[in-house]
Amino acid sequence: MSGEAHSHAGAGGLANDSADDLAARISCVKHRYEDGSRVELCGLDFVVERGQRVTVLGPNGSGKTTLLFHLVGILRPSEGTVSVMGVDPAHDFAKVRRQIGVVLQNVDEQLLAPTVWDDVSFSPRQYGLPKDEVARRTERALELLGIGDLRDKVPHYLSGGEKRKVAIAGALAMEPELLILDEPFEGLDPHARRQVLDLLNRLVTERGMTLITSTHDVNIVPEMADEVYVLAHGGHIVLHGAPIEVFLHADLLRASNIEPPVLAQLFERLARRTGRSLPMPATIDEATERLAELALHDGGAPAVEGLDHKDRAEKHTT
Amino acid sequence: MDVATVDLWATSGRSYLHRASPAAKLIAAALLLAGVILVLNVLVVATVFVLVLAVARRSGIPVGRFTLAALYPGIFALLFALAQFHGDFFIPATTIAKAVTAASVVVLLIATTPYPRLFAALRPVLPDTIVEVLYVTYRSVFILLRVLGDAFTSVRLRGGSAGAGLRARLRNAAAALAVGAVYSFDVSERTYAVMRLRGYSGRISGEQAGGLRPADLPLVTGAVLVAALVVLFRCEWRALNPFSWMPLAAAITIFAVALVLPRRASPAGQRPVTEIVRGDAE
Repeated sequence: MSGEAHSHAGAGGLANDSADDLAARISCVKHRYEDGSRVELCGLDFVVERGQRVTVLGPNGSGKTTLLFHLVGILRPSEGTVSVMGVDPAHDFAKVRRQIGVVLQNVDEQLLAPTVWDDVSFSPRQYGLPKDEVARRTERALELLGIGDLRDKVPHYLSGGEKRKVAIAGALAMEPELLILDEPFEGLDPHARRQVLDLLNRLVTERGMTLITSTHDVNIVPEMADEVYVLAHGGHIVLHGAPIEVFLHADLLRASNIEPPVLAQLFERLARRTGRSLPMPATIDEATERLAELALHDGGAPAVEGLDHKDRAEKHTT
Repeated sequence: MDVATVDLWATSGRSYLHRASPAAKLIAAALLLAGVILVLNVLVVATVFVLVLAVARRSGIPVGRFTLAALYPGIFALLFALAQFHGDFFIPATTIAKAVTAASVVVLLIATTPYPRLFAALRPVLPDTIVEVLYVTYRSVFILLRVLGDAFTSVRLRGGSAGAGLRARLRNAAAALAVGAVYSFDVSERTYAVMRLRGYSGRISGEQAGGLRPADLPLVTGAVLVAALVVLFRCEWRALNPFSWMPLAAAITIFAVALVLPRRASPAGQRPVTEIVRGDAE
């Protein structure tokens, strides 16, 4: 999807794609909570292809968690359609749940078992895998997260970051095709965040796993997503595209109560100040590269490919 | 002392008793409880209590706090004993000693055996549903304790317990409890949803605490010996009562040795609660 220009009408652009190519799709889902509040995940369609890394970005209360809950069938839409791995999760999630790993925002409530080992092995045991396979998967998941030393610990005595790692290990134990993580880096220190980020990216590359995450931490998005969906208050999907494309729409992001990433702000201001079009960097390394280039040019015109991205981002305004 | 403290003792301990199988500990506890119920000699009851204290000490459990926990039923036994008091101190003393000793046996059991492991051991004799409810309750209890703790801390920090009258403080405490109650409904729904997401389809697979092991032999033998001693004093009380100070003296000596001996670090880690068995495929 990225790399191609999209208009507002592109919302239904993938409607004719084979379901086999899609990991998930949400089309104008409306949900009403018991307290009367409504979330309408409309505007653009939420479409995730297999093997993609997709991040849902939005301020608090924008409906990120509602969107993920619909994907895993915890919520049932009053209007609209949801499809995950080709099935409606509200009705048939059991058919696909074995292929899907989920970590919700509050990990405390997801750690069910008395010890870390028991918890990580929960799903493999529930699916009736043989004893040695359960042990292999559990040990592998603990090793991936670097928490082998916690295997005999009791979950409620772990730190917040450790609990999150245990929850992620539990989701990875089934070696899922689709991993859904709600605010996966909450409570993690920078080192652990980097470790988990590298791990997730590696799993996507090596296993072809599809990754759907939600976050309000914009700075980490370029490293964790191929595609970004931006939600405004009320659940309206206002913007979609590759991270760099999306971050060029600083005005739309701010209108959705999202502060653009620091690097995006820096390069936006530099461009305004110098009158030059600077390509938007995705990482600090890229930013360093661009700034060094700019300094070296010293009066020469730097590369001007950055603005092209802005036109590629699919946007939707009310 | 609260549930979390006892749980911490149970889950973090690495002593022989912690490593013993839950089945062996249940058998030992049952034997001791039967003995405490049977015996009529207060010195023999005290013997069992002191032995339990010695074992608790060797299991790394703080004796003071352990005793405090065991004393709770003593308060109620005291009321019962006072109601029965007719000038003779023997019966009230025995009643209180029995209550405290029986409680100490149970506290020792739960302070050295994680709760889910205990109920996994009971799986063969309890309905699946009950075992699963207890299994899930374990984590929920701690989540709710945290929520209630946070709510009460919040009440205190916001002045809810300072300067106000008793009525206002009770109202604030009730409000905090109400928050906990409402939260508990939310938690139960979310926990169930998470269990479904993680593969639960009506039965939690594979909990098995494991049966008796050769390493449990000293524990079971010790419990059998104590129970035999108690039964002997119950059956031959006329002949043995004059010597009932002797087992108590021996128990006190054992306790003194337990106090003096340095604690040993256990080389072995605790096994996970779950012994993996092949569950029902979905």
